[in-house]
Amino acid sequence: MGYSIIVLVKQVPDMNAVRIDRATGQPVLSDQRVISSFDEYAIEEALRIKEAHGGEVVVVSAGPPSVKDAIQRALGMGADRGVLLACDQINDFDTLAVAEILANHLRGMTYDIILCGQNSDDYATGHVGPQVAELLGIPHISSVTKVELDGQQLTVHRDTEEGKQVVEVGTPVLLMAMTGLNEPRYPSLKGIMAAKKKPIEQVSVTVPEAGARLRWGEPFVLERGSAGRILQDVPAAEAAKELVAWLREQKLIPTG
Amino acid sequence: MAADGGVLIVGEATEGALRPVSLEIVSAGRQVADSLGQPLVAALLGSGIESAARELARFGVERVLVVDDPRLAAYTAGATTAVLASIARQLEPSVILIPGTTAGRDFAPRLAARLRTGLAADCVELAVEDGAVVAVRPILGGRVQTAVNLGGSRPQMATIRPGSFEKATASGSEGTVEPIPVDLSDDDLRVLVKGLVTEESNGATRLDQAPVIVAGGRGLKEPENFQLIEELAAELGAAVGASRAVVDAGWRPHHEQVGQTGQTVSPRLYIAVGISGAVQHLVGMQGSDYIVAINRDPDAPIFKIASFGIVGDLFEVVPAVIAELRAAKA
Amino acid sequence: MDEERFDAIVVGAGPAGITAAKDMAAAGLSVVVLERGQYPGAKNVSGGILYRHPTEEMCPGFEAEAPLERPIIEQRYLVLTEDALLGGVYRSMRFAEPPYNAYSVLRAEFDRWYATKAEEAGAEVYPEFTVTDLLWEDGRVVGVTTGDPDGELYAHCVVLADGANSLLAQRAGLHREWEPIEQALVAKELIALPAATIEDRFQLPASMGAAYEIFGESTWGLLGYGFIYTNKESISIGTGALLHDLIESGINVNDMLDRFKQHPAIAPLIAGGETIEYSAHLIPEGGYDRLPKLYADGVVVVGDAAGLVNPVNREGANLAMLSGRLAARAIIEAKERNDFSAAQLARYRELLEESVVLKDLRKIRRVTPFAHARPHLLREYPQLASDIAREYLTVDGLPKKEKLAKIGRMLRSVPKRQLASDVLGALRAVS
Repeated sequence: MGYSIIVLVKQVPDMNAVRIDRATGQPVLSDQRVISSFDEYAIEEALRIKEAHGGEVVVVSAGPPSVKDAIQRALGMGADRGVLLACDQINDFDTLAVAEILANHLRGMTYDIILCGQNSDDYATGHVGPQVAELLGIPHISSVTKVELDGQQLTVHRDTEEGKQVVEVGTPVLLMAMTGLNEPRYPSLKGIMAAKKKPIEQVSVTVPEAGARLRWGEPFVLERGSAGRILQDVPAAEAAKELVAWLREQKLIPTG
Repeated sequence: MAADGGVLIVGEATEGALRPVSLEIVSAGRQVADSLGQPLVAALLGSGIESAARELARFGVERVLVVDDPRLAAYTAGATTAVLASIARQLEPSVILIPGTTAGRDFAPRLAARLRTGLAADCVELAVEDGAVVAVRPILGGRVQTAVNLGGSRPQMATIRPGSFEKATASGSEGTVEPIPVDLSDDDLRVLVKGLVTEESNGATRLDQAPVIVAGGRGLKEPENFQLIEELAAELGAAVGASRAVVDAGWRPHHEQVGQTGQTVSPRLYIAVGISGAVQHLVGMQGSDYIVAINRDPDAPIFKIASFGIVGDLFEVVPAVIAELRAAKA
Repeated sequence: MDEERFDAIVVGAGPAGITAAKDMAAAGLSVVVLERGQYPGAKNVSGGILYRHPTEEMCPGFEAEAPLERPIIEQRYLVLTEDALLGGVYRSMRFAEPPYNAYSVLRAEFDRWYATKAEEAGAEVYPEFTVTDLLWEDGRVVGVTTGDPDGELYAHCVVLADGANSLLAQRAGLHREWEPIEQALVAKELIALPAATIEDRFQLPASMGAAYEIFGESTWGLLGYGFIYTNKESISIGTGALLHDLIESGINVNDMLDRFKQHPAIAPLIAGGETIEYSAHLIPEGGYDRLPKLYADGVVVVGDAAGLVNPVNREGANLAMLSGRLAARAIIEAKERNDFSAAQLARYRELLEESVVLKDLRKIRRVTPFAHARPHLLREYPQLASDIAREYLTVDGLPKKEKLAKIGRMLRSVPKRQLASDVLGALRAVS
């Protein structure tokens, strides 16, 4: 049988290495770049589908040359080939422009399933997936925690506030991977070494006229204000009394 | 095409009932509508939602556009996007505000793409400057915030993080409720909703709606010790939450997880027991009105945002608190 | 076996491993480097002084490209007592102009850059892979494994560059378990301060640096030393002592560092700074007499993993790099002869003995035992020196003749035998 699967991957700065510069109050991003967390679930799911049913997994990512490392890692996990949509200023565009860049290239590819992460670690909008689907004219499912395939019919579980929504949809479809979908594998050493031989197509993109739909200001740190009352070295019973009294004072528990 | 047809807010209803988050979006919409001097219009989609629509109309919304159709009983992005796009083309609103719920964040981008406009995600604050909506939203895992000016977009769209705005109060006046005919093609209905799997959240209070949450973390040491959390929660009529560490360790189910990869909550009171307060967790609960922290480590980051903190052994403090609460009731 | 077999696998992408990889790859050998950190250097710790001359030999032109902090123009040796500070300074404006003698560096950044040099030479560097064991065949080392099902790699020779307390060196039978007396445990912090503040407090011309080594109270009197190095916009401050002594005295090295930072003579130097990094690491201290075997069939050991550290002169990274170079040379020769046996790889040890690495280690081999056997060197003597200095400097109405007599009595309070033994021992230690 086999499915043609495309995985959309975003390379982001490592969020564990973000520091706030005390002097300027500005965030300092490390130049250590990684694949956005939810995208790893997407890559893993694509690989599992291919391993179970056959097919091909193509990794697509837009950005500056460093994005090659992200694609390489996905190839090391087991993807078959990569496409790098070369665009140095990718972070300057709003999500609709990014979606246009992706969709313009995807239109020329064959696919049954497009997978991406629920949202990215850095800006966490969760917009690009649905917007790519809209531009391609295909349905999308977000917050995906389970995928079952039966030919060209998919049964998908979605995480919602009420619990898991079960939906059915046919291919082609775009799925957004959520925590709980799977456990992403670590690329094996042999996998990483073999990845060097897998093809990565470099494509130059026409930069869309983004206009100024959105204009961003400088990031700032929210001052939480001084912390409240902290009890230290107070015996448990006393501390408990004080806490309950305070809860009553703040009307957080019924008085009397 | 002036596109000043008003500020459009999208409410949410499930099983015929208006979800409380709809009232938060009314407040947000009211604020923007007043600043712009434009009417506030609400859209509500679903099946059997007539009374929900009338309820919404009592909260200071000039017009409630109701789209009531059995095909909208269960939410799908396709149908919702199609209906709202059609409404937007008719109404030509200057602003569209959508709750940042899983549904809202699912269809809003699709709608923005269909309308070829800009969308700001997960906003916690709104302002209006020279007719432009300026939204503030957290980025970089919640460590910093940034302001987004939507002035270059028509309509200006934003999803609003639940808990960021107070719920609107009944205004005394009643807006009009206008049924809108629905025009759905097969294309809009390609996703079929089969139902809900709810075994896990069976009976338990929904975290994102609970006014009080007691959450436990690694400091509890063993899964059995979560009983302390459950007992304290029971005393307070609270929902039980968990940090990512204990969910990953398999002690608690995922729907109890609070944090970046779990749920974002903003209850009146959040009690963090044995949780150090890593950024990924704080992001999920820092919007709580009051935060109480109990941890043995005085340097735990959670104390920086706690309204009341106790540095001590939770295995002594929590039972003492439970005892004190029981004594207070007696 | 039709597995792809490399000429060499290097375990650890620190100064020793990268130098070995770089030189071998430049000579046309197929080389793979496996590093357990997220990137080369991620797990590496050093106080932070890099010497220009040996580094230039390893990597000509490095100054134009490498991330370097400040050229060091001033060296201070200080002794701390509980309430006093005494010592010596040397600052030379000759150190302030090229060619510089030494730079302060941030190890992780430097190593990360240095690894790209190995890649440029043709070595393949793979971070985030931990080698858990060696692979053997007929008593020869034939490769490594990362513990995963598909994680076996084969090579003619394995270079162990996995740092202090190397488990693989033990596995290779080159060393029994490392003893606490052979290692020092050092805790270090990186404290952020604006460049101008650093230049102000250390009285430095713009972009120049200073290095302080501090004995005595910095280590609670234990054998070891504290250090302070100035970086561009941060201070590296750390302290440590022999692991054996820490265990015996029950002193926690973190507490030691905290106390050091709070000392009245030290606190003002770092006041107002934010700690942006904390690390602790083991440093080999066994010296020449406790070196492991440095080679066996199909395997050699370099750098800290081989215990090649000179704590007296504060040299570790440059000796590591040189050992990596010499190991590479020996392996290149072995490849030419297609002979990777211990007999052939013995050439590595030969080259080390002829080089400054083992020459220096041999020379200073008695210093640590000498100092270790005399705890009063870092406790009573500093206190005595402080008391004498205070007495001398205090103007209290005492006629100078009586003051000198008093100082003479203080000096004579040291048992003559002890003093004689100290002097003789010191002479012997450095001869």
